[in-house]
Amino acid sequence: MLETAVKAEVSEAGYKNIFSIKDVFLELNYGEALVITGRSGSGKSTLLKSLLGIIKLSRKGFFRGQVKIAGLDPYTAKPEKLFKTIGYIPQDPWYGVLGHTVETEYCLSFSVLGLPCDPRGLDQYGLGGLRNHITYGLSAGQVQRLLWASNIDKGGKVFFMDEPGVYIDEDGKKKFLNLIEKHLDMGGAAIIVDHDPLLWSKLEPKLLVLENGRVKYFGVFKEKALPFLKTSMLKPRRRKHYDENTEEKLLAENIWFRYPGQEYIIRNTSISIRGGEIIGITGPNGIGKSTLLKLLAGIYRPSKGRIIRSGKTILIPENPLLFFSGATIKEELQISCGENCSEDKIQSIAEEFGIQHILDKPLAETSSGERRRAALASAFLAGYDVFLLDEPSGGLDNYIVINVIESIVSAAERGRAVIIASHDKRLEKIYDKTCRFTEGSLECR
Amino acid sequence: MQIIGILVGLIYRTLFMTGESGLRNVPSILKIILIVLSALIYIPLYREPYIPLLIILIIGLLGFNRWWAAASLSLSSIPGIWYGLTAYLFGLAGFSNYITPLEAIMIYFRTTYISLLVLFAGSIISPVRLANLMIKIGLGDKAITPIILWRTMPAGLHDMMEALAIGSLKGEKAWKRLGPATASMLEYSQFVWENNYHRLESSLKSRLPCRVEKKYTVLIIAGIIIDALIITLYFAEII
Repeated sequence: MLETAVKAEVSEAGYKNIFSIKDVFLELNYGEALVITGRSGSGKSTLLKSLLGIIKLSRKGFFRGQVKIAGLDPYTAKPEKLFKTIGYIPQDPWYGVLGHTVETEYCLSFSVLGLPCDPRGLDQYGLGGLRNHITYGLSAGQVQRLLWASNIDKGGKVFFMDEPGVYIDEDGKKKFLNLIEKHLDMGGAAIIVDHDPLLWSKLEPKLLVLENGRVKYFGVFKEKALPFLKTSMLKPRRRKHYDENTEEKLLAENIWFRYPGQEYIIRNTSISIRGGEIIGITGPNGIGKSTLLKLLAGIYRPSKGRIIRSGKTILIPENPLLFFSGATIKEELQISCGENCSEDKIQSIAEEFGIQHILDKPLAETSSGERRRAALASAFLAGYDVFLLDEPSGGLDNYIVINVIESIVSAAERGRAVIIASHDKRLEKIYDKTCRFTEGSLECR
Repeated sequence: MQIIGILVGLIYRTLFMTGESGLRNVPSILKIILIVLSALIYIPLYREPYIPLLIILIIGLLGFNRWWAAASLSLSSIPGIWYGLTAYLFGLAGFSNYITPLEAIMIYFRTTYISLLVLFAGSIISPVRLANLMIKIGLGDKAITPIILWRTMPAGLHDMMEALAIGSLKGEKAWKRLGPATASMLEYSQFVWENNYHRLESSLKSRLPCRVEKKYTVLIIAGIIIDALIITLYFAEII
């Protein structure tokens, strides 16, 4: 008979007067995986935090029910004991790091468990060359890899992962899928929150579908149980190709860049974009995609080469919290819209991005996906000429991605230029040009 | 906006640009001796304050890099310029004793040296060594503190620089941007607390890996010898 790894009876949990999940009952045995899915804002992360016992740490967090992880109650067990049993990768990876260098972060978990640490373990996660690198200088993908590395290598029977592949390149995703498979084979268990559950179907997991904080389905994995659009069903509308004769909105010629004291990360790279054009930048984690966007935006200055901008440029970073100027979504949209902006205009863009119901919500209380949508809505409302978008679809479900795609296409059709750095294959269909980053320079086709 | 961004950038480059490398990879005792001697050297070289300043700058240049030297000199020059200039202007205006431009420059050097020494001390502290020391003396439950500090301070500054730069792209005034930037730093601490609760509530038990690099150890020893020699010569009344 299989042993129970996680058993939960959640009567109600969430954030007082903001959002709650109700009547969630689940059981997971060792050797099994559970994929929790649902649309953005359906309560996936809230459920995961409830299972881990950390929901109560939030200002308005509450929990009613019972959870057992490997026989331990996460709300009463000693944190140290629980830490030995679990691994946790949060949705926004940069909030999951405590160490100031890659090696320190990796070894901290070992130290908590009183185990010796061999940093060479980082090699198999593609982080061997970054052992002494500062963690606050890593890309989101590299941070996510680091969290994978420390959580897997420290041991632990039950993994909790919230959108663990959002920032990871395709090769990395395959590798991590195999690692989880191995973990299950060795008698571990895994609970994975993902907006794209098909990614994990190889594990033959259990499936839990959430809708507005309620369980819509819990049982064996079957595609029919997925009530939302599958990635393969995404068909963004065709758009007119941009006009080659339109003005260049941004031109970067032979640019070189390196962070102080480091090797050149960008070498002799050129890129130009015209009004109406959409360019996608792809490449493995940590290759310099986000850095290039910051150079194009003017946040960093190239060490060599020149960048000419003929219009207002905006960057939406990987962490959208850094984009906002207002305290609530509505305030943010009002600031972007300007003084003489009509309420209808704000309402209309809010509907386009599916945030009309959370307009008055403080940004601090929004989910990761909601923030991303709010940042995009705000930038599109302000009407910039060049949009530089860093992982704009990270953690968003397919319905929302369709809206995002349509907004990007619509902005391009209005003559705006859009450069997107992303691993998300769902966006590839709208690129006029795809530029792949390899060894510091771009190859566009 | 630019000034705030530049200041934040200078602090970041001076204190947090490198991980556990360079002068951090030197035994703590040698670093403490160098700092103490560098403070004492101020007495014999009171009239030639540019000499100890040069010594620290050269050690920093070789032990970190030119960006560290440029950033730390720029940052420490701020109080230096302030004190030198105000002393000179107040003297000219008759609010205090008149000083010559050369004396004002000496005030600049002295103040800059003290500030640079503080920044240098901050730059060579190794949070890993501190944590290991705390584990050794039975403070394992608090040992994570230096590590967190060295992660959250620069991460906060990094985010603040990015938020300010995006504010600049949005055409916002700096003061308008400081609110959200600070709010985002506060949220950062809340999220870090939630996501790392189990680790933060546990104690560190085994030592974290740290290494000693010969090259930088030799550099610090050379600094100690030079400082000690100057101090000895001074107290022996040879100089």
